[in-house]
Amino acid sequence: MRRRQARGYDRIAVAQPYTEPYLRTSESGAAWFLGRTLAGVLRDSGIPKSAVDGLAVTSMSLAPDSAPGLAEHFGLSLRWLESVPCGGASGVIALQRAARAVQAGDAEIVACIAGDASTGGSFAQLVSRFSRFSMDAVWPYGAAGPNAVFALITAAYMRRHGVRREDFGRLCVEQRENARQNPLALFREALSIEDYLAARPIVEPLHLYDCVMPCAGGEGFLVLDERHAESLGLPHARVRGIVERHNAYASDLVQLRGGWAEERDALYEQAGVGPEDIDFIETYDDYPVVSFMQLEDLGFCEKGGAAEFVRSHPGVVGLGGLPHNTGGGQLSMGQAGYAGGYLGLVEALRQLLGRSTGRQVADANLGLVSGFGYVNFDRGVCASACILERSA
Amino acid sequence: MNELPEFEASRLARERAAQAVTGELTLQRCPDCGKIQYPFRELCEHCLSDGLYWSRVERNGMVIEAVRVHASMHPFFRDHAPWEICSVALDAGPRVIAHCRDAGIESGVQVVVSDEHVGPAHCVLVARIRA
Repeated sequence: MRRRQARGYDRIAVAQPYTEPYLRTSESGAAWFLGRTLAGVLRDSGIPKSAVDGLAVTSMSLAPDSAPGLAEHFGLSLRWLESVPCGGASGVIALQRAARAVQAGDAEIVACIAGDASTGGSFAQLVSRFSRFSMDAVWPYGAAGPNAVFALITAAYMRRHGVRREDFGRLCVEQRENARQNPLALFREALSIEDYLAARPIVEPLHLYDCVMPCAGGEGFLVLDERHAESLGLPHARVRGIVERHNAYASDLVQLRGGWAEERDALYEQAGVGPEDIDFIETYDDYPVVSFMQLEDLGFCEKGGAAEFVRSHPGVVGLGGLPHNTGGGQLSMGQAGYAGGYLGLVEALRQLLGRSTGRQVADANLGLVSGFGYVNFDRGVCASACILERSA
Repeated sequence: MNELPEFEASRLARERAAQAVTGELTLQRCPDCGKIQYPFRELCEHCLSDGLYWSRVERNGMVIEAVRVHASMHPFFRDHAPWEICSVALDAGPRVIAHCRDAGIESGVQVVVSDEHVGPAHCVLVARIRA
């Protein structure tokens, strides 16, 4: 039976992209980065703290604290509070939760914030006890952290589709080109394909420039009714469609596709557009193979066709292809924990508002953002995607 | 690898280490549907039944993919790098990640996966090429 289409997201505005600048390491805790992100969103929007009645929080390093603790810490009185722990899929999912809350009248102004700390050694500690499954079935194999799991996935993808390291390298080099003028990116020095190929191995076939650099930082935005945003004079983008899918294709021997493939028709149907209408895309790039899967599963090319697609559609802004990870992505900006799962959405919002901190996409009307996260055992569990539109 | 650094194992992992025999393969089995489970879990993935029990299972499997680890966040693994691990589709059903104990383990190779005790409370999976 054909499933019922989800209700649309009419009149939902997304506003005020904010990035708390990334730091390689910092003594400050997650609450500092989350709170600075909230403060940045409020300052830049001119909205008083007392007007925020909804809060969505994403963080991997906040323990032992949690979202309710932040309400007290930040002096917020809320009637709607959400915690989104879906790793790199969290930004789009927080937007979905917030949008529904605003539609239903459960909240009027929702701040969605993500932030994580990075003290020396903290990342190693976090990944060593990321989940029960990973503690028992991944860590004892020296594979703590997602590098080894994604090396297994990358090797399988290369074998299946005849893809070479150079193909992934092209994507990494293009993203670095997008990052070079972006003051928010941790890595702005030029990266050549020769540099990429000569980098030291991490877990073969992954080498240094295939892997994101853990860091500290924050990302945030506001969700509210479009009429409300207009009355406040707040520039915003509109939500055209949102989907998520968790634990898709669980019996695939290796993850060569994600939940996007199952949900893309629903996404485009809800948005009333197709992949050919999209002006730029922000994929979740914890590893280039994951971006390849998103390009395929979201319908920009056939399965296995991402290498050719990237060859024939430059991702560098201004080259006439399909601008991709326009701020440099996590591969060049750094991965501020789960805030990496908000990065694509915040960058897309900047593009749609004409406020790029680096390379601005000309005539950016429709942007697609996809998320991916939560490597519990041998694959990412959560997939999400949304389409945002410039408000005329 | 004859030892591993202390790591935090779940109650089920410790329970299994106590029952496992090096050279055999002990995994959870569902009392209702018979499905073999991995990683260790509280309830059956298929029918959500309680009462999963430790059972000697078929050790044969096929390598999905094998990779060489050069860098790790843990000093122990860093000191022992590079080493190889593989993902295996067990004939018994589940997928596992295992240490490679033979050279030449690569995608498509038939292997035997068995338990190996490392330290008093820990037991890992190792893969060898099937003779």
